[in-house]
Amino acid sequence: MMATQPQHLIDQNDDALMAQVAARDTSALRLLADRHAEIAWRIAYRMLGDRQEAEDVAQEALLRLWQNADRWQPGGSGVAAWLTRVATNACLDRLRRRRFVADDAIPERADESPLADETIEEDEVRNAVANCIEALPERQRAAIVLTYYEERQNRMAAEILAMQVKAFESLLFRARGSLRDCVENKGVVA
Amino acid sequence: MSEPAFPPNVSAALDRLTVPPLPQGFGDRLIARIEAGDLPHIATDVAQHLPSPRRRFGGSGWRRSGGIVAIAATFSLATATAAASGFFGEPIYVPVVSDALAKADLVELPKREQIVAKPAAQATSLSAENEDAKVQPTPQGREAVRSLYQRLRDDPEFRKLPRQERMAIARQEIRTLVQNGDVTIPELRHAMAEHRLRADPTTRQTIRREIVRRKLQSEAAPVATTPADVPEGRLQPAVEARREAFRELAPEQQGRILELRHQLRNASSAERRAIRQELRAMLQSHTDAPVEEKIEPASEGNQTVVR
Repeated sequence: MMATQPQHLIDQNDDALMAQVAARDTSALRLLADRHAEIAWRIAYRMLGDRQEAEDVAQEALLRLWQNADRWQPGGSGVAAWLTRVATNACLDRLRRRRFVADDAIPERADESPLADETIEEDEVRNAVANCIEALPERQRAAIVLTYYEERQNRMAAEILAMQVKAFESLLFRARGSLRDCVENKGVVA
Repeated sequence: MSEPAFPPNVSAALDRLTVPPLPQGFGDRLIARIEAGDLPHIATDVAQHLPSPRRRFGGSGWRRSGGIVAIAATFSLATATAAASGFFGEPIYVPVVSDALAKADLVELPKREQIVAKPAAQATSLSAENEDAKVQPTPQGREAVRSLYQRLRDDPEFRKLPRQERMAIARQEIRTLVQNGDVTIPELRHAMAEHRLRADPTTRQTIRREIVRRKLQSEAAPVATTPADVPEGRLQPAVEARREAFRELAPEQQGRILELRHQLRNASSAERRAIRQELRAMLQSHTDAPVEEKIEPASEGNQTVVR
């Protein structure tokens, strides 16, 4: 992905790159994707549990950045925070849409585990955790992903979910309790 | 994470949920979508996520019921106001609304129909053409006596007559009413009692004095004489006791009592109270039964207690 990066863009910060994106420079967008697409990908992968959907969400977040580049205000919270917000909300939208789809239409989590015997145990733990996260309600799932895996502060996570901090802390408390009980009940903890 | 969110063993399990690296060719596919124009629909706010599905009516059932009640109440009030203001034709009297509109000089209060008591059965036989004429039914019962009194009082010729003649005429008229069956004896008594009550205070006092005088006259004689002609059991025990006490008095005391009783007729209320006290004291000294027990405190000043 980094093969064809113009040299004059590599040293520029995100705000400068956004100015280039606003000028319809796809090279600048590619460079921003190299820097920050990983965030949207991780969030979507953990929240949705599907590789293809996670890539769609990450691409959608960057395409929205392309579409709204002319409204970008330098000095703000940054591209990473912006992508985190957009990706999280895109995941929540997809999870809500899943409610109206029949259970048998929900795509199964792809079995990406290696078949080597030594990885079987780790694979079981990983699938159990993924299933427990999938069992959480949408917003609780987002709260765990943002605070535990992405290590966002409660205030920032609450802002992303458009909640009051106290309400978010209550939500996070319930999410942690549910996830802990689920993981322990799966019998995959030492 | 400033604080441990999970126990170490749970955190260790959660950390197993690793994410594979971004798929190869992600950037190329992204640029390809831009060049192909495969862009997502632009939202006004890119960070805005789908709104929560809204209820059609919003709120709880209670709120919906409250809304329905408010609509019904508003409609009722509007209808009542329209009816009271004559929107549907003649204004109709609606108790509160019409009064409020009349107070604001928006409408005139419709005249209420006078409720007239139906004259007896003869009114039903009236023909339609006579309906306009005022029906003057013959007064019956107490009303007949009242109208008689009123008619005589309004007659100037009657008022010029001496009192004895006026009384004779009135008695004759009343006798005629009784004979014709227009009034019964109980109704006549009630009517006369009403007449006395309606009389002016001076006349009422005169009548009362006259009644008292007659009672005293009728009672004074038996007390002063031996009640041999009065059947046993007719007299009340208190009266009998007083008479017995009177008989046992000395002649000069009996004379004093008669004198006091005579003074009592024309005395003022304060003087009467003093006379009664003296009478009670004289009689009480000669009887075992105290006289005060027979006299109700509420009857103080009423001549009927002096018997």
